[in-house]
Amino acid sequence: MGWLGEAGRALGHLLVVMLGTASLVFVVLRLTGDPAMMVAPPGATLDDLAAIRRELGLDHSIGVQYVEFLRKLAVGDLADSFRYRRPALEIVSERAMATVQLALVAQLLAIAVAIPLGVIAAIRRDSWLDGTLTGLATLGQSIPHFWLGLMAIVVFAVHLGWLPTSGRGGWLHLVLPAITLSSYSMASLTRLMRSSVLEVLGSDYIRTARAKGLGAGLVLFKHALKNAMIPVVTLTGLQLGVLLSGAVIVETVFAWPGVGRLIIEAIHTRDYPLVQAGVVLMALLFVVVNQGVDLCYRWLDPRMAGRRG
Amino acid sequence: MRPSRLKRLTLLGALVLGAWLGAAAAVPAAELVAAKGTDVTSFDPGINPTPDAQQIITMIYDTLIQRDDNMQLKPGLAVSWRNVDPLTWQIKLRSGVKFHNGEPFDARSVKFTLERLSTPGDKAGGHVMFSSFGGIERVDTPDPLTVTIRTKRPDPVLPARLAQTFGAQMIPAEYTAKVGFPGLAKNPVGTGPYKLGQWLKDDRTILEANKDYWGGAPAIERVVWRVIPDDLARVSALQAGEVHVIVRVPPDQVPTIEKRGGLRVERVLGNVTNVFTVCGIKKDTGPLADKRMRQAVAYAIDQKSLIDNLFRGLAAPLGQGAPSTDFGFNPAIKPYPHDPAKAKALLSEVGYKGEEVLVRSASGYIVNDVAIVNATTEMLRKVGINARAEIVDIQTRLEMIKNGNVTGLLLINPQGTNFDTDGVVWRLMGPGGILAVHWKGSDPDQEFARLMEEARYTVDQKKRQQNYYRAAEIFADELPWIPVFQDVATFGISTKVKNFKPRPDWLVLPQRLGL
Repeated sequence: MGWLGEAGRALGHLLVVMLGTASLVFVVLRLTGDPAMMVAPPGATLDDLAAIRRELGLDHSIGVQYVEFLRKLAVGDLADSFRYRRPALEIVSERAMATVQLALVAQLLAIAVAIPLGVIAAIRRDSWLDGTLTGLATLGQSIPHFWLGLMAIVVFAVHLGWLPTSGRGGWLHLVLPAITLSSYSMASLTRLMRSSVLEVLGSDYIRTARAKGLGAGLVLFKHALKNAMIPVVTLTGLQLGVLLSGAVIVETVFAWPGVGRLIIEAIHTRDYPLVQAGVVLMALLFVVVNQGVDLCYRWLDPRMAGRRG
Repeated sequence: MRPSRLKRLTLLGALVLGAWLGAAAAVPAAELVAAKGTDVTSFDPGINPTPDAQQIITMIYDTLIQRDDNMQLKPGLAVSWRNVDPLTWQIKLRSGVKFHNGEPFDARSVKFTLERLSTPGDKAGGHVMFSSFGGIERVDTPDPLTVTIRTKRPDPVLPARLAQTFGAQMIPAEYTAKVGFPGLAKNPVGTGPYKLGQWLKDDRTILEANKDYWGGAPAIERVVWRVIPDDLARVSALQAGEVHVIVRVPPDQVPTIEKRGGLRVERVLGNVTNVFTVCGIKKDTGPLADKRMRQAVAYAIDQKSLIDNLFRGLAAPLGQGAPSTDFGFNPAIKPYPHDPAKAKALLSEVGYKGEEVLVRSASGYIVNDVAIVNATTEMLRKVGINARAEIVDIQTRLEMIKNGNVTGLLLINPQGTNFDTDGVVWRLMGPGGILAVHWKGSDPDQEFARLMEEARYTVDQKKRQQNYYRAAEIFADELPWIPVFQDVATFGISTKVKNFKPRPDWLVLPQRLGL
């Protein structure tokens, strides 16, 4: 398949995913409740609610609303948010940077820590160091974010006063949320890296490399690591997708103005267009990241270039 | 390695770091940082229905009439107001007031604002305040500092409506005509003590003092309102000294704050009530249709225990529909005491046969809602009522509110917009109200309805008060809602902040504070 064909295929894939996601969200949201109540002030009468419904275009049947939704979607219009009364896509885009920043920093941090730790744990297999690292990794995977986040705030911001408690400002504001958010990825990546390195180190070509007299370092860095990285790249891609689709809890605990929090609030207030726009954008990011992972495979293992998984 | 280069790099790094830290530290001498749970969604006063949003709107815009710290009406942009006849109000305006952009505030601004609010929202920039202002028929401007408002029917609540922070703020006619309501929503121009500096949505809103404010230049030159949704994180920010004021202190955090030097918790009775509305009793069906059963429920509920155990004492028992902050609250009516023996006696008097009574609530909609429902269910079971707790989703809750065929108790938290019994009890139970289907008292031929309707359309405040006192007696006897408690407004605050007064409307007015 030519380069162009492949790009076209990827694009088609993207469109199908987006349309499916948008339609699913559209239908499910309309089963969840009446947004008029959320937009109205306390004490609104039934007439007021009816007027608000009319204004928001909710007085038509779901079918009519869906056709209207598709018609607008075709020209890239995801409608106005009910509460903000501004284009929903604009509101989500304004917030996307905060989420991308936090997700990328957290994921880079996770990779930077997990890969060396995983390798060390593998080389020193069954030593006390390996035991400690594996133990920490299990802990990191099992501690919930909200607890870790609140403890971090209490210790580092309130008692020690080293870092701000919450909000988005300079780089210092990123430290606690990024570490909290990275804890799970870091832990699972460390464990995966460890087992992956162990597996590769036990394979035939490594034995061959050793047999021809290469030093341990050269074997590890030149031969083993690249292959051991393949599952790690897969996991990193998946994790990044999840992080980008909104670290709701971390964003809430640290008052980080990201998309996850936005979508959750929009769900609570039945702000249909905002939820739709948020989910569509997240689906887009998810697909793009997955395509990126595909590209990485080809670099790591040229044999995959011809195949599609 | 060239040492000179390394040195230069280090120096550069230090400079950059220093500049950055320095920039972060460069704030005006009088800057107040405050935090609340949710953000404003638009700067158009007409479309922000939440109290947290009104906090920001109130700083940028003014209402004609304001409320003092005890919620009594006082002059704002209007200096006086009176009834010319039951249908006509004459309002005299403050002279020399200017909007932030220099546009003069005068009768034209008032006419423009009120005509907008009395037009259905879908035809006037999507505002949601028609329920409050739809009764206005005409606004005339005999001279630039006088406005006469003619209402379709006599409206005694009009001054309170003009004081409500939900949407009654005056907007500039000329500017809004030029930029449209969306333009105003983005770049607000009011007459208020602060101007919008910068809005970083869901992070912070920065407001700069309006040095030409008609009430005097605020001592606090800049206010930063941060949005911190998590209760504990908000308390932490206060403890770490990052913010001076937080709105809504979770009850369990009050001791933590009070123990720490330099911080205190301010509290005052708020205007939000928590009640179990009794569904579906109009048709005389279900176990709760007999008022003695409802009284038994009221005697069975231990309000004090709920308040002490779930809210650390930060709430007050309630015995009627309106909260104590509202006009028409009858101080002679005491809450039902906790009296299980009385409850049991009433049950046997009625001949209760153990029909199931559902105690319902949504989850996470009202503070401690699930805990309140579970505790209440236990209390009812203790006196022999076959109660069962049921947590419903918000949509089911809404259907129940509107549907007169559902029976049982449903936890709701009515809140008025204008500190008047009309704005809480009758707005919900009166004609067109969302709770009008459940209880006979809402029907026009009933004494309760007659009293409430008469009070709604009588400008004589004494007469109105008498009506509300009597209606409150009927309410307390009939119990269409079982009152549970009235909220307390709480603020965590640094002792550096001077002149702070907690208000029942939850507003923080930085123009009156010092640091």
